[in-house]
Amino acid sequence: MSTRTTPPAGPGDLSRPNGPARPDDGARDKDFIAELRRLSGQNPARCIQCGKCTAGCPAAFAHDYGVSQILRLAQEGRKDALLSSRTIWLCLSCQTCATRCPMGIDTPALMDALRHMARAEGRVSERAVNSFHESFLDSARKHGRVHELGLMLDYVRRTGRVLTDVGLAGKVLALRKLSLRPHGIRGRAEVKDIVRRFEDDDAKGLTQPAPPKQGRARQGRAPR
Amino acid sequence: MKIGVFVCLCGSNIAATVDVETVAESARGLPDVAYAKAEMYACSEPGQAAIRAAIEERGLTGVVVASCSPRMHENTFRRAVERAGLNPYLFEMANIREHVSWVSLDKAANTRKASELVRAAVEKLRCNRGLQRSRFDVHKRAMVVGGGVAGIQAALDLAEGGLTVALVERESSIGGKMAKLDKTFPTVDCSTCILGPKMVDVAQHPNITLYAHSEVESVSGYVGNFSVKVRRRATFVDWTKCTGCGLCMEKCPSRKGPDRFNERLATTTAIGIPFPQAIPKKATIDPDACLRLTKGKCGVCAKVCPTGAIDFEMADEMIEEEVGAIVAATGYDVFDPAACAEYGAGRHPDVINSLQYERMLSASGPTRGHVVRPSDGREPGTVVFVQCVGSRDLSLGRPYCSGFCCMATAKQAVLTRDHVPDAEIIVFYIDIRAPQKGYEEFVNRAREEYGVRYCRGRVSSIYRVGDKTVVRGADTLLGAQMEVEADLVVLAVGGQPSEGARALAEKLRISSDQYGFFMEGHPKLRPVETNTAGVFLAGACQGLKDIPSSVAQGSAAAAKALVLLSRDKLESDPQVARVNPKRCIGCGKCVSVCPFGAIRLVETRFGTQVAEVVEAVCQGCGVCNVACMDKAIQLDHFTDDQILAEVNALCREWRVAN
Amino acid sequence: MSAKKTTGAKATDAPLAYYPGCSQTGTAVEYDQSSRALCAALGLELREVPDWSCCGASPAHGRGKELQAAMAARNVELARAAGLEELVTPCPSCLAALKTAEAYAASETGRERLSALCGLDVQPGLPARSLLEVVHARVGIEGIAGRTAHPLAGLRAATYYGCLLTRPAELMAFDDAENPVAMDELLLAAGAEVVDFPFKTECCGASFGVPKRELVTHLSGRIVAMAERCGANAIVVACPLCHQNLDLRRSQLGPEGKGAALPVLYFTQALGLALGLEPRALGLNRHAVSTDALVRDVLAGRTAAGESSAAAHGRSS
Repeated sequence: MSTRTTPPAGPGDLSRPNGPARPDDGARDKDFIAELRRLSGQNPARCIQCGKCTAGCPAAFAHDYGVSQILRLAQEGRKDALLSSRTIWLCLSCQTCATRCPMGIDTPALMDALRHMARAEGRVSERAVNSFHESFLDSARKHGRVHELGLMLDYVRRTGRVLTDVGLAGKVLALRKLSLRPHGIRGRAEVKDIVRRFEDDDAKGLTQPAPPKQGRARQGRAPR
Repeated sequence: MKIGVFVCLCGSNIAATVDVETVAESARGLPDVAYAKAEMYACSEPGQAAIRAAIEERGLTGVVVASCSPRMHENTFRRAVERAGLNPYLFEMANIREHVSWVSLDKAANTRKASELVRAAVEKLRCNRGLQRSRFDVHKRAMVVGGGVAGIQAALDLAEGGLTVALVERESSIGGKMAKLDKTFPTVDCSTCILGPKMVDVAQHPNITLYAHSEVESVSGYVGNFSVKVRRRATFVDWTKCTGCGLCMEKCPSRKGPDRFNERLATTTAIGIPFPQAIPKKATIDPDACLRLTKGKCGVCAKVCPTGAIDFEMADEMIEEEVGAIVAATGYDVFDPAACAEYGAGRHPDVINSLQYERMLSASGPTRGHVVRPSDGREPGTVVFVQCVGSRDLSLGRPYCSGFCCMATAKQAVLTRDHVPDAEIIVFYIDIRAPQKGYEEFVNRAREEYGVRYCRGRVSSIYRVGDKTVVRGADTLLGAQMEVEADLVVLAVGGQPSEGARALAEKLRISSDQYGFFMEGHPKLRPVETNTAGVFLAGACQGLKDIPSSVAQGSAAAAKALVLLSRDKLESDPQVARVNPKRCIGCGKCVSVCPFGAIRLVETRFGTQVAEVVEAVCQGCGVCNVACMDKAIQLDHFTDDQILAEVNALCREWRVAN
Repeated sequence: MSAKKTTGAKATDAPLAYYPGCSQTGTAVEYDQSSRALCAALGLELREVPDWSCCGASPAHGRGKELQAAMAARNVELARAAGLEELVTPCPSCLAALKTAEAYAASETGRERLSALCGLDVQPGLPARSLLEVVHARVGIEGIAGRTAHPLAGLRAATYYGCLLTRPAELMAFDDAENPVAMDELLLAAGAEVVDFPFKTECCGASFGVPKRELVTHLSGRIVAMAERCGANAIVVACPLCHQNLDLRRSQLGPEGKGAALPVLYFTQALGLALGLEPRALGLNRHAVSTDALVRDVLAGRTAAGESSAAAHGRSS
């Protein structure tokens, strides 16, 4: 047989649990749809559910909902399912779906917005992913540049996970690639201020979710 | 003047957001208005009767109807007032539906605006004068542009209806896309077997003149009297001598030219007849491939031709045709999938498009009907069909459904099973569109009886590893990705207007939609007419469609042209330009701007020059009116005085309101 | 074959503002090292953006594109203050951030927002490009071919561009999003062989190596395995994160890629070798998967190629 369906070789613990289909509660949260449209600059209703995004997504084997199912849930305003989904945290932002979407939908921007909303509601279903991002940003905020070793230690502190990359650390050290101390820069207070101002403005809803000119869904492919 | 004003309620279309009684009341105060009344449906039989009765009983000499767009009912009302004895041009319409009631919900503002438009119409009417239509002769001959199945059907019906027909075809044979198909859905008929007899009929019909290898160069004139220049492109073979014996093809040493009939799946000779059933069955030389014409060497065909038909010196020839009606049937082109880099068409040898596959399935095609992998000529074990390539894709500027591909794919999948009984056949689709007679049943048979696997999901990418072509798709119904190692991938390409369609639209002065498909006169009620009188549409040039619909439209367009040309004389529209010779200084500006060549300069008896309008040619567009600095040329029914009377009426209202 | 479009990087001699990016101070230090060495050899003058800071990368982007744009904009303004007119970075993630800043700065609203966040007067008009694009545009195919002292006859490269270098196409505006060829062309010009590699723009798993390692080990494993299957003897990359996943994490990769001995080179290292730079000066000794055998083969090929001129040009397929 020359065909196969995923997960092709993906680890089993990440695949979608095959529980019985539950009846739809019929709730369609219109305010949620409006907020998602505002935050992402994308209109899920434009999606024709062709499935090309699902077909090409490299992380699909780890998803609970396929990418096109996320779009479908967004069309239906299924807030709970979306914000508790693991898929939104396991989007690699690789742009494959956005590049190939026949309707020009910027799905990664939609995923960004969904993560943002999930975080705001304290419903982070993939804590490790979020913690890594937080550690990363903290490192940049503290030193002005990211200090890889510091980032890792902070991540361990946040997640309580024993670092599974110990083996790598040894390798990196041996290759003289890991600086033990952060490389602080003079302008680190400026970076800290940028993050602080952003967080203040974001709490007030003042931020622009996309470059103003690019807010609309794209109308055509970039010329080849 | 004694004017009557009729304000239409149009049921609730107007009355819901316009106070029609107030509009009628305000009309009663206008100069020369002797009567004003609201009507439930002015266009209905009782509505028209009321208008006629008012004219007769009250001695009205002019009528204004405030209702819908003149595009809908101007003719209705003109005929109504004419029957009551008025000149039809002593009638004006105020559009208070499309321009008022459908635009805004503000009843007070709408009512004011409707009253103002009525006032403008009354003021224009006061400047109107009666116009007389003249009658002119027509050519009882029609032209059909495009010799695909729609054009063939139109030409045959026109010819059977008693007209003579000039059929112009760009390729060297008629037949179009249908001639390239192996079988047709849903009957799985042999395509050439059912089209072939019709092609032969075209060749043999005494009323049909066929110009193959020819294109429309320019069009002038007007309904009933078109004059069309046709460029007969050089074939380098004298078709009066060529017997279609094919000896030249056998001996031609240049065999690397692109075989366009076989969709470039193969190469062909520089001289040849595209396919065995070609009409006309005459040889043509491809000047880009011919050794003699490119390098000055060879000339083998001229030596072997038993009738001495080869003529390397042949040049294009221009023919002038006089026709009364034109049917455009220029068909479509298939989408070039090279624009979808993720599918690798053109890069991966075993990825072909659906029309190429059709040639592969055909017994007269380059593989003699054998299904093979182009890369190595071996029979494929797994064949994958990808639907909606170049359709339903906004990012490619083609958000439309091409309509025929779902069924074409189902047919090709079924034929694949016949050719390769053990093949694994998979169709990736988004939605199956099978709305015509017998179509849904056919798709079901493909699944049930022919074991075709249908997977719902658009393919993301296609890549090549070794001698396999990997298709990365999804089964969205299972919510899973699918990777298929295929041997042959067929991209079901959609369609687009054929090359040159926009240029032809300009020549015919018809409009195109945003994609370049020709615009019909009305999407429901005038499906084969255009907004240019005497020009009709048939087939995929108007919008993508399958064979039965194309044939139906071919017959419909022929019927419309036959109706038009069943009359010996047509009536001209009297709304034409008129020159005031006392004001004309003979500058000739109007002559140069007239798009129809309807104005010429003539010498007066004083030796000066003045412009003169050829009434039958003038289309009443008004361009000359604007260009004339001395106001010497005026468009009847739209003179400066008439337009200014309307504008003044509107401005006066505005001044009062503010 | 030609890289169809660039954002218009010109063949000028103007010095470039060089933004290394955080990875290049740590796990990808050899990318920084080889980038500087290559540019010096090619006569491209790099001036490091003084006191540059983190561009925000994807974690900031996850918080909101505007944060990423603002963090990057600080660096754009530092480059402007230093009198430079064009930014170059070896890292595609940094490039995406810098280009996002550029996109915000293009509109007045965007400029106002960035200025407010940065506490600076943010201006438009200082474009950022990838080092790959700059080398392709300023030096070009002929430039590389002309400077190639030691044709890379022993190198059969799988060119791996990753996700972000060409995508999203309207933002990055470089090469073909589905089948990029800029790196292929430069390597061919340097005398290498380039295999037909279908996974040029497949994702390696990006920054998920730490929080969700299964993503990286599965995806990168497939990429390494495919490169081997296509007959490559090295993968050539233009991204520090791709390198980390394919090289540093090689022992963690899925069954398909784990055992492969295929080294992973930065394109700067490969071109540097062709120009005759020393392997150590290019940091080729600092990879987890040893490059020794490959470098030896390539160096051996140098002698062979020296005799048979640059006959090894051309793709394998």
